Order: sequence, then C-alpha cells, then structure tokens
Amino acid sequence: MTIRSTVLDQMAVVAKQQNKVLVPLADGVLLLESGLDSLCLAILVATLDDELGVDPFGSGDDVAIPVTVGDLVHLYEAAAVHS
Amino acid sequence: MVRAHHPLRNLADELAIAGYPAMRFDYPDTGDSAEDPERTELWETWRKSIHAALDHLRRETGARRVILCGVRIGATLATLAAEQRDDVAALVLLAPVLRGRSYVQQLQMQARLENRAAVLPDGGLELHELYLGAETLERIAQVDLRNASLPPDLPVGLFMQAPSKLGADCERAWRQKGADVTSTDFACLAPMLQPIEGLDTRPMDFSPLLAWMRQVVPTPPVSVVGAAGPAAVLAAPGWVETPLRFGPDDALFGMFCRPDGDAGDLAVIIGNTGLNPHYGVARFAVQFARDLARSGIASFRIDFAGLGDSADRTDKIPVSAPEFNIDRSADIGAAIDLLSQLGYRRFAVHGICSGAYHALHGAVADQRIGVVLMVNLPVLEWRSDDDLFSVTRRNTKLSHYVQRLVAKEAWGRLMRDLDIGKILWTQAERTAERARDAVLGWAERRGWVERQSVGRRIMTALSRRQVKTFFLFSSGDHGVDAIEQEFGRGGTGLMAFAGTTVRIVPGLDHMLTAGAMRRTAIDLMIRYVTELNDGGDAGSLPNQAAAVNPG
Repeated sequence: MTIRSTVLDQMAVVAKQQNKVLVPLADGVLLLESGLDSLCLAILVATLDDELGVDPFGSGDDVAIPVTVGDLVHLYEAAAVHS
Repeated sequence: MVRAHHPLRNLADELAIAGYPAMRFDYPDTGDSAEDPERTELWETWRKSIHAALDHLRRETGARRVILCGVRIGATLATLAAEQRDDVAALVLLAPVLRGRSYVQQLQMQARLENRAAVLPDGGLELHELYLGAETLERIAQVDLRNASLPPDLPVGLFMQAPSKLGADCERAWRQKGADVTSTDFACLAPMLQPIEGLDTRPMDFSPLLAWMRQVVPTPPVSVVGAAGPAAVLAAPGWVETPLRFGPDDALFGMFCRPDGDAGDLAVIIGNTGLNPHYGVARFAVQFARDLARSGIASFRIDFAGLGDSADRTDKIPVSAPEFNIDRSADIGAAIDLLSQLGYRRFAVHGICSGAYHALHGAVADQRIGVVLMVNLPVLEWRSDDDLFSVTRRNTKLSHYVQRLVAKEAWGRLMRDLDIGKILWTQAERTAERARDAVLGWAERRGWVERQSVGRRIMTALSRRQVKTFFLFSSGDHGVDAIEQEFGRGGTGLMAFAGTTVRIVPGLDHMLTAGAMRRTAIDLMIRYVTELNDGGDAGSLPNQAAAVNPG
C-alpha cells in the first residue's frame, strides 16, 4: 500500500468509528472541512504512526499542522522518506 | 473519559446481573476522585490506584480472584496491573491503547487543535480536566503492550472496533508467552469512544463480552448482600463528600459535598450539562462543588434521571433525545427534598448550557429555590418541535452569517453545511419577532399590554418571588443572542426584573474548555453566592449588568 492510500484509508476508518461522514477526499480539501473533527484528526495521527511507523510531528521541531488532505499526505510521504 | 461513563455503568449492571459483582472507580484527578494538590506524576499514581481498587474490592467482598476490565488507556493500565498480580482471573480490554507513543501523539494533537495554549512550555499539556506533565507523557510513551508479560494461561479478551496490525502483533506476542487470548471485533464499542454530544444512552449490547466471560470464568450466582460496604466518604482539607441516593425508589444519584467545618443553611444543586455525568464537563461540577465547600457552602451535584449514575426514566423517553425536551424539575425537587431532610433551608440551583435551562425552569417550578446560577443559557424557551439546529438558527444574528459570507475561505463550507433557505426563512421570522417585540415593548411601557412571552413570564414569576438570577455568558455565545432578542442589547431589559444579574465575560467559550475559563466562571459565581450567603437572605444584591474582563 502507498502512503497516500494508507492515509486515505485510515481517514475513512476513523470517520466510520467516530460516526462522521467524510466528504469526497481530494488534495485540496481542508482537513477541518473533511468531516473529521479535532478528536478524529488526533486519532488519525496516532493510527498512522501505528500503521506506518512514522511520526512527522515528533521530530522535535514545531511542525505545522497540515491544512489540507494533500498537505497531510505529503507530510507523511516526506516523513517516511526520512525515517 | 466522560463519554465511557454511561456505557460502563450499563456494563457493571449487566455483570452484576450475570453474577459478577462489579466495582467502577475513578482514577485520581478524574471523575469524583480527589485531586493531588502536589500534582504528583499521574501515570504511577494511576497504576497504584488500580492495585488499591483491587485490594479494596477483595477486602470488601471476600473475593479471591478478580476480573480486570478497562477502556482505552484504562485497558492499558489494567494490562500493566495484571502483569504484577496473581489474583487476576481474566483481563477484558476494550479498545486498549496498545502503544503509548502514538497515544501521546493523539493527546498532543488534540490539545493543539482544541487549544493551542494547552501545549505547555514545560512539555506537558492541559487537556480537558487533566494536566499531564512531561514526565507523565514520557512514561505513557514508553508503554508498548506488545512487550507485556502476562501470567501464563491468563484469559485475555481483546475487544477492538476494527482489526489492526498492532492488535494482531499484540495477540501474537501474548499467545507466545502463554496467555489465552481471544480477539473479537466489537463494533458496538463506538458509544464508549465517541464524543458525549453524540452519545446514545440506550444500553449497549455487551452479550459477546458476557458470553466470553461466562466461558473463561464460569461463576455461580453470587450474593452481593453487604458487598457495597460502609457508606463511602471522601474528604480533603475544606470539603467532605458522600454519594447519596434520592428521589422515588432512590433511583437518582448525586454527590453531596459539604464544608469540613461550619456550614450555613444554603445548598447549591448542580445539574448535568448535556449528557455529561454529575462531575461535569472537564470536572467543572467537582471543582465548583469543592470550591463552594471551601467557601462554607454545601452542594449536591446530581444526575438527572437516565444520566450518569441515576436510573433510567420510568417513562422510557430516551435520554438521547435533545436534552432540553425533558422536564427535569421533578429531579431538582427531589434533590431539594433530600437536602431539606439534611437541614438545609435555602437553595440555589446551577447549570451550564442545557443545565442552565433546567435550572431556570426548575426554579420556576419549585418555590423553595431562591437563587439560579446559569452559565451560557442557550435558550429561554424550548418549543415542542424544536431541535438544536432550528434553535441555533433562530438565535443566531444575521450578522453572524454575513460575517461568514464575506470570509472568502468559508464559502465552500457555508454552501455545503448550511441550508440557506431555512436560514433566510428563520431570519425573516426572527426579524418579524423583533419587530413585534419592539411594538409590544413600546405598548407595554405605556401600560397598554402585558407581555406574554415565555422568557418574560419566567422572569416575572421569579422576580415576584424575589429569586436571584445570575446570568453568566461567554462573550459571543449564542445564548447572548437569545437573551438580546428578548431583552435588548446586553440583556439590559432583564434589569426590569428585580434580583437579576447579567455578566458577559470575554475570553470564555461555551463549554469553558480551558482551566482558566473554568476558574473565572467559578470565581464569579462563588463571589456572587457568598455575598448572598453573607447577606443572610436572597434579597440583598442590587440588579447588575456588566461585561467583565477577568484579566
């Protein structure tokens, strides 16, 4: 599975578990308008670390929170390259 | 967390019915448990508390073996406790946190998204009622349940919402070490894991869990007579708390909190906020109650019927219905009956959001109530066909939508989220109501008509009884719109009613999510109520309306 497909799959899983309705996902969709709330996004970050073994927010830098779905995917793709 | 309270209560009930006496408890610094004034490192404190709970349970019931059950981080703590004990008969893990590092990431991300200031410079974070220091986060991050050394042959029920790679890894690792692991997809865990606002309080189906328990720990019916032990008392400097049952058939539950020294005859009844249990959102009710006690005032934080630890309503109205729909005045009245038996003679009632609504209407229904303390009262009247969306539309100023329209980036969301037709229709209705109110107000000032709106009827009734009403609003809260719609800008029209105080405070949000917000609200209410208390009756304060900057 690619990083992209894992991220998108896990967004769907978290949405289902938290009883949220996802909008059709595309790179330009704002995360906070994707249908996920702050708790969902926090769970997503934890789940992606478990699934991918990368933590782009734990690098010690104050990593900015991604704004769009595309930002999120690119963040994990970059973290996977550097891990 | 709060959202699991009601499902865990149902699980405990079902376990008891099935012959497994059950005890629920709150970790230190959570729920009704005491806070550690020294702010000792929480992770080790929580770990020790499980052993204390197990020892207490065995001592009180005579049980030789115990089954440990936990949800999320509670399941993690249960697993770590099971490593260290030889009296654990089985381990029930509901959506356990399997890897502490990713859980810490979740907490940090949630704190960043909800309140940037919650991530503290010392590496700790403030999330809801919890302060998790850097050391605690580090200790949690070190936990990896794949490395857990569970006793050989220990039955472990791993109940997950969905299969995961990490769950499979744990299962494999524990089996290799001799544990008897059963892994089950348990989709009905959702009500335990979703925000309380969407909680469905109908009983969850725990039959897969109970079937597994009967299989691995078969037990004959057990008599639980006497298992409850002596009446519980929790005390710390300044306060003493006792859980009490009250109401018809003692079906309702509340936590009575009194000063550890002299107390007057005034008691404050604290109702539920939404569907949250009696300890409140981020333990607001606990903090308020204990601070009241330190100020010499008793309180009773209660669960309305069907919420928290109170029994379900006998009329079977689902409490998952909008929480405004149900009349809670009988529950408040039953609480006053009990407090009267305890010797209290003057009564205040407090609530946040829907709790404020019930406090206000409870005061109308019960003439014994002399003070009403309301935080972010969202609406004065809840009509039979109302829902949260229609009320929000009715109470939201058109300027709010205009501001959203001019924000370019909000266009997509606005068009997707909002029903423009309904908004415009509601705004037209609102404009008509305001015009009607203006005309009626003009006529009323001349004595030509008597206003009959619900809000005015309520305020007139309370004012005639000399009830003191304290309206505390967060600046910008929808409740301010609702009050202004009926009583003019800043709610100044309320000043026509004797005994009314309005505070509109900047820097707060609707649910007082940050600790500093809760501190501000509690300080304002305690100052208000202690002045009343010192005055000896409920009629000593002049009317006030003000915007207060707590800083």
